[in-house]
Amino acid sequence: MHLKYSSEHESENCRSIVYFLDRATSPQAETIVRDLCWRAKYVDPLNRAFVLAQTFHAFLPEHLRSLFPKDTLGLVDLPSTPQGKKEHKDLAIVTVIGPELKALLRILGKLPTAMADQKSGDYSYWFAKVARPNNTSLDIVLTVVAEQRNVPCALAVDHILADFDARLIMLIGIAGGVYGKVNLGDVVYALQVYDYEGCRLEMVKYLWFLHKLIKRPRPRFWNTSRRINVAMQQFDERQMRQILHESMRNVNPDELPSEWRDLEPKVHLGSVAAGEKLIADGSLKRMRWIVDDLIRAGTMEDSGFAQAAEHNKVEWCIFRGVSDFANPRKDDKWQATAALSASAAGITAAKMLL
Amino acid sequence: MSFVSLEILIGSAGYRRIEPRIVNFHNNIAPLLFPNLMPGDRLGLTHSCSIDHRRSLYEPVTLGTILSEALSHCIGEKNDIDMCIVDLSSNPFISVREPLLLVLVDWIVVECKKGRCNSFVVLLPGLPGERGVTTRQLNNLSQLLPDSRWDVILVAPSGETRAYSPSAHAVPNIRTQYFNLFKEAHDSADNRIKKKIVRRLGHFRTLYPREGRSKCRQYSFYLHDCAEEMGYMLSKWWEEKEGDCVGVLYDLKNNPSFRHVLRSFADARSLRAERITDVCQDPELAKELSRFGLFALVLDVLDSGTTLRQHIEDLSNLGIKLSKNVLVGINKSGHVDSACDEFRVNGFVSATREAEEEKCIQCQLGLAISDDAEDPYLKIRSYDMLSVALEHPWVSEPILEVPGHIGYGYDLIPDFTSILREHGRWLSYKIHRFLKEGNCPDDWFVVHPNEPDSSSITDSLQEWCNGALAVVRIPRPEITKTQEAGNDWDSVLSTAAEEDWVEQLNSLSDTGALIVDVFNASGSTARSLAALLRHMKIVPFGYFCLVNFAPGRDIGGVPNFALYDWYNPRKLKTKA
Repeated sequence: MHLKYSSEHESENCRSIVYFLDRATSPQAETIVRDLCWRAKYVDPLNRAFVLAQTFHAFLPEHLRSLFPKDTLGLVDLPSTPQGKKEHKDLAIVTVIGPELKALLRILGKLPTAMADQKSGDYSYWFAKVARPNNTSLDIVLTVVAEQRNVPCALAVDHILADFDARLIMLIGIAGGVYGKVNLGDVVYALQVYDYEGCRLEMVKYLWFLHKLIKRPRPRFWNTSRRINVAMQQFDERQMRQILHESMRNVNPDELPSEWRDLEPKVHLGSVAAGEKLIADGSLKRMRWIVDDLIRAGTMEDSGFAQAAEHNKVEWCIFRGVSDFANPRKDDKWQATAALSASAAGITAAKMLL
Repeated sequence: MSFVSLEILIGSAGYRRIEPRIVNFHNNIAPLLFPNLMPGDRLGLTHSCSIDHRRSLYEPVTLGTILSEALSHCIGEKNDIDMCIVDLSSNPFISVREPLLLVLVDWIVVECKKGRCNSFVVLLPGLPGERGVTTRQLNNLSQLLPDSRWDVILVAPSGETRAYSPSAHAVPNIRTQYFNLFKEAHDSADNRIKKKIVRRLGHFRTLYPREGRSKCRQYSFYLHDCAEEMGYMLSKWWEEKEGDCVGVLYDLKNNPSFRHVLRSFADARSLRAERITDVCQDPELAKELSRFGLFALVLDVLDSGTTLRQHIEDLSNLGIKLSKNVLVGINKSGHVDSACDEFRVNGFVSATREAEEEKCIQCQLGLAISDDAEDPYLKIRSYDMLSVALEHPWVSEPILEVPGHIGYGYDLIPDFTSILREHGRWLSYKIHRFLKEGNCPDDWFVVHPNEPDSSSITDSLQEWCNGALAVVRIPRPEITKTQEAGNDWDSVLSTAAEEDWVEQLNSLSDTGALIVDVFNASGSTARSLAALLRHMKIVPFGYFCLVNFAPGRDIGGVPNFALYDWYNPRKLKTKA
């Protein structure tokens, strides 16, 4: 007999038990504490210490409790203590703009307008659970940066990883693709991120009165872990398409291109060029010829994302849906579809990787 | 003239006695169709036998075997009878499918050829299609049984009959009488749906997007597993109130099964069915709908009426004409029918509004938000368990239930009788989901100690299983005796051979059993019941309890599952 979603997180159970401890009579309290102690061993050390400290306080003699109330000992609000609220999640997902967030919420079975489950500073978090084939579930937290470019994305990654103890962090979004190598709606999985912004600018004198500005490139490369790259060799595109088509049925057809029913997106393993520029002049194709033949997409956040994840020592990966070809004909028509494809690919990969 | 009746419940396996109200129903309809019958002509015991849902789909031939065995059991040593009632009317219409009916016809042919019975009355939840294979097969009976005298009468709940006979047997018009008798014997859809509303516990949030605020609740009402009832009531409501409407506009985000029922209903009647949010977001669609006639509004829940008023305002602004009758699944005004401004609201069921909290304790504890439309957890959260456990003073464990030779009774445990009285439906809904999602064998039944609390669990579980759950209740004194004898059931079974529970277990050999109990403290009752089942050649495939006070402890090698694990094992006198 196997079951899905057999239980909620033990730290939530422990917090509930401690709450009721104050409302129980003393013979009841002993039975309740026995349960708490048994559960506490499955909770991370910080949460465990916190709930056990609260339990200790509940058992203090009345005069000591009134002398040292909970708030003076800092035992009132666990979620507000910076270390204590680091809750475990299997996967943290970062999206950048609204259509990406909405697409991901749809893929996770939520309404695209679902309100955030938690707020932390300027950031909002949505929680979701995804069933895996082995009848366990993945605990997912997702956030939206709401601003393009690398630094805001790096800040969001740092924030989410300060709030949650995630095993893997993923960036899911849309990107401009390399024409001829990918199709609209396809997904690019980043084997590496090529940060092309770094360069040294020099003035070179080549005639006695003429100077020329020369850019000496100083790019940086961020590689995804070998474990994930190896696992991605067996990526199940069929499953991704199934998830995608199921969620597309609930989308207003006006948001999708007319050919969405026949859409069979592919996942390309390649490099992603990341900088501070929104490329719309076709230069992405040139970049591929000059720098890295594996470049398949151009973005504005991936370098910041990768650096922040590496700084926090958390495994990371990136899925980008191709919404245009970064050329002058660039428009928004494929954004929703590309975001849905990338989300479907990300969730399929998460089931495989975690 | 003698007759027997067999009731077939499509659900779990096993034989049991038909309930008295059904026996009366059969006794009353038999003379309507065969006036020569006298009340004293009834023969032998009447049994209800069950066939598993999955087997009814994939192996309908099992029905033939079950019917033959049941008929043999009923007629005993007497070789033949004059009439047999086969009652399938208690099953949902969807369960009585064409392959199953074909097997029933084959069985009738075999019995006629054997000469055990020549007249059959088949009570159905709906007559088969006139062009279906079953009807064709029944029309061909004369060719299959050229030399016999036979009668087959199919009866629908409305009292409509269809007779097949070589002698052109005239069936009297029994429409009104049958309809009334059927209504007396069976729960109506209104009553059944009332028993299927669940008050779920959790951390629910109501959003008020226009006001930019939200409030939390600990309870949420939910209609579980009642698609059939909803379909029936929807049709009834439509015929009574909304015959002139050209379509429905719905907001059923919290009840996906109601959405499926509504969409199938609309498809069957060629009605437009659109989601209200789609209409509000799509001006083209709204423009198109505004050109049609009246639309009826259908909502899953009517709470304070704010959402309904918003929908009415939005749709009226878009020029869509709305009927004054609104249908809701759950009407939280406290009445099934109520009014919202000039609109009349008709509900399937009524409920009271749950208290909403501005300052939510569960939010302060950082507990995840529960979904009104779907319960992601099979287990109970600690918050819910403790809130129901602390509602009533705790009690000491009943002395009769303590295995005195093994351990000591609890001085204080939650009052499970009160918990089951107030939250029994929610708990049985959880168990039903566990049984549906668990990997149960094809033929299975439930066994539990014959105690009021355990019986109350299985009684409420019957509501979800359409009464088809076979339950065997083992007397506690017998369990205690065998526990003291090292779980040896030989001596108990030899003295109790005539008891009902032993007869039931004998008839259920080679099936699977789920052991059910209120709580597990040391596993001794479960081990004893598992030993009994194995002794009777029945496989105990699982042990299920509401609360497991000894999580992780082996229960006689039987896989176990509890709605809540609460570490508080029984203090043992000897090493377990």
